[in-house]
Amino acid sequence: MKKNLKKLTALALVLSMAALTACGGSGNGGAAETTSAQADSSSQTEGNASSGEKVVTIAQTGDWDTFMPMNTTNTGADNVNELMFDRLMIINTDGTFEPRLADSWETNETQDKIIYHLNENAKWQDGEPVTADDVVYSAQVASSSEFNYLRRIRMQYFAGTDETGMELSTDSIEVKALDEHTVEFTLKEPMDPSIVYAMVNRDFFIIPKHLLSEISDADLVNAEFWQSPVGSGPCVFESTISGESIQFTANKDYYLGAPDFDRLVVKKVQSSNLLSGLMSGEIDALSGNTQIPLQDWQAAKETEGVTAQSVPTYAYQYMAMNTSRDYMTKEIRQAMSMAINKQVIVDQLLQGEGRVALGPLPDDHQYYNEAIESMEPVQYDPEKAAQIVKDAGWDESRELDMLVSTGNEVREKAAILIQQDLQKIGIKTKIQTLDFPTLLTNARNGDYDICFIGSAGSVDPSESVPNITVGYMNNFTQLTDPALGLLGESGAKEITFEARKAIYDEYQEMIVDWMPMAFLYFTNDLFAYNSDIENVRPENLDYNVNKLVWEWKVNK
Amino acid sequence: MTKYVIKRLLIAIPTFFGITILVYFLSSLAPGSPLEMLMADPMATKEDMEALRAQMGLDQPVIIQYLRWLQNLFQGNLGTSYRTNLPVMGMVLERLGPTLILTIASTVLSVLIAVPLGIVSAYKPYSPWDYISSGLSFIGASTPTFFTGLVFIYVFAVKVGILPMGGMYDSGIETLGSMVRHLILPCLTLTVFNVGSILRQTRGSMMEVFSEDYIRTARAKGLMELRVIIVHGLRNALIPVVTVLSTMIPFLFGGAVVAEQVFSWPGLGSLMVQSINSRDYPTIMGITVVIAAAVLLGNIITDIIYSILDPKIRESR
Repeated sequence: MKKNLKKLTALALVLSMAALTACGGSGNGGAAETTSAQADSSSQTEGNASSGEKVVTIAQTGDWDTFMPMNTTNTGADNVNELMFDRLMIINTDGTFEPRLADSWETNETQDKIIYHLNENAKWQDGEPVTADDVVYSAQVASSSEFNYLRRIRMQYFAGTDETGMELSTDSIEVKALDEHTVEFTLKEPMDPSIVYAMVNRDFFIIPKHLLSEISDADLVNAEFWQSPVGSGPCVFESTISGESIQFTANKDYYLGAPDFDRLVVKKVQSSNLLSGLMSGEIDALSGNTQIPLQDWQAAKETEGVTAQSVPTYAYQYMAMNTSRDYMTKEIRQAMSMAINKQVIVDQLLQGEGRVALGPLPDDHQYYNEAIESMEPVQYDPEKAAQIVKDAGWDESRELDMLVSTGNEVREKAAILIQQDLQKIGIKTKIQTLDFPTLLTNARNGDYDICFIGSAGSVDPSESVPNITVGYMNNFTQLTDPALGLLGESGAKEITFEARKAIYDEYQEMIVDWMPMAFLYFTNDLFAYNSDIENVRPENLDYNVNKLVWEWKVNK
Repeated sequence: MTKYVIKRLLIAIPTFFGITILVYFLSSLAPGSPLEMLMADPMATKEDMEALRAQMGLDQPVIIQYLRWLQNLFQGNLGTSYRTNLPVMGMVLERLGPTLILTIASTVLSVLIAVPLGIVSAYKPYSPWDYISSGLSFIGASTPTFFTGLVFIYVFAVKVGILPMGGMYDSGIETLGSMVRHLILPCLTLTVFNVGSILRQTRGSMMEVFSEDYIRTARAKGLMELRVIIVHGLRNALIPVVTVLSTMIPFLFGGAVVAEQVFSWPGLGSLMVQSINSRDYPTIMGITVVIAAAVLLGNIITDIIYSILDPKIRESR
């Protein structure tokens, strides 16, 4: 019996050793595992090297929902679709435009027609040429009344559509092919074409007529085509594992240049794992809507083999104030703006990777109005703010509902700093942290006092207009006075830069004076990629959609 | 026996529908609607939103929406996702495989680790071994899954660099070997969490069994100690262990939600999180149906295993 007991103890010891190794990964057992796994991975690398395949892996934190580019408002999907499909042009963050599917573009003299000359070498991935008919077809689908293009309102600028961008009758949108490679868009009225370039072309993807026109618009979103799409872009769809990755092969016939890789993989990665992935070489670059988390930024800059680049953008965060509350008067709103120490938020929370915002446009925007810098409501002056609050007879026992959504750490922390700033001028707040859909519902219903929202910004100065215009979903501040919105919209009707500039100068002053929202800061994109890849241009990210992967030089 | 199984099945059916009703109404009651996320575009107007609401049938009372959903369910149709416009059935089935791989692998590993350790602890209670294994399992069970996961990623993927930090396959290599390498860390993370409860249960019931008369009898007959422990002891001690395992099934899915998020494992858990974030009701319901069915089935199987292990249970019911 004693012998058996010894046997048993020995067995138990072995088992628990195995268990401990598995749990903690410590000791020699772990090392043995190391060698075998390393041998395994090196043989894999060799396998790749011998076949000579260059694989580039792009990490994306957000999910892609669909490959049907006209059935999404999700930047995760835009980023993936941008690899497969083309848009007419590239919009640079500085407000300039570069050719993509269109070689060049012009307007007629009265500025009510835009003509695009398509790249004559452009081909669909099945070998058919991309023609003006494809562009016409894409515009017809986008304005179709048979399905809900979630961005259909972009089509509102074109003749033959109603104010929501929907066609008046079947294919009534006035877009026509002048010849095989020339297409003409007719506008409802003369306007500055850069509005169309910036607002429409950002996510207007061209889809293949010859493969889709047999399908009715109503059935289009559910078509099997989108499970394995054929586009004209630099990457050819190969396969996908839902929620995990998408595999592409390079389109070596891409008309803007053959990509310098053989395969490209878009992989879903948790944001906390991005830097680890770049360090271990599992990730080569980040997708446009994916950024290094701020707490990892310093480490990313110091990591050898990783290039980290911070790109200033027009994206901004603001504090919306519910103007429908009778106690949230203009004076109180202005005082709250004056109480916020925005510089501390930028220096401390953003670690300097951002800029203080006074209005909706940053100081390097071509429509920026310097005059707002000297306006009182944007000065940091807590003493004066406290005086205003006191003079207004503010009820000190009142507690304002301050809503902030989870998922943006800087914003959550900024809410706490702002709560303290407001406390100093005698305004009490109660922070409520909600998930984003809930916050949106509350904000849209006006069921809040203060809430924090972000926007992607735009090269076009009219970007913020829907946020303060009656009738729009994102009129979170519940503004009912139409004057500000009308002023903003009138700027879209002017056709020269000077005339538009004058209107948007006034618009910026008015929004600062009315103070429905306090603009807080502009964020930088924190981009990082494997230093083995050259010629990456994060500054051209084009609101996060433009990776220009065919220009990347891959030294792997 | 057959009668017993049928009886269990009949109880499971109303439970299943009860679950779907609860989840449907609770998710509809939650603030925020699928429209908010679909209409995230800044240029969207209130009219667009109302049109979409009517088109999606979201303007109907919740009870009508539920009955409509139920009607489709009886026709084997789980509906179309609001978020992706793909059939929910396909989306859920696609994700079910990875989740099953992960949960089954970690359950098997947990049992393989916890049961022997529990026996050793029970055999020599209050020995150093007992303290070490109990201590470690407590630490494992009380450390949140996401933390364990991040530590594993830091150690094995970044510092040592032998295992991938997430995903299911290496870029472009969809082989079994690649999948197993990706499985190790999430599986270990879940295992560390699960070992504790199984170990405690095994230890407790083994100790109880060791003091039974029949164990003394078996030893008195001069049987080998190992035989006494495994054949006479373990079989009787397993009943409570099976109970723990069956109550663990829903928690396994729950734990997998976190582990799948941390390791970008493309399973049901990560799909559930995305679906909830975008209030994609059809997908939420589709996953609920699958998980509810799995849990109920798990319970029935447990009951059957019980009756095999202990004929008393079968007779008394």
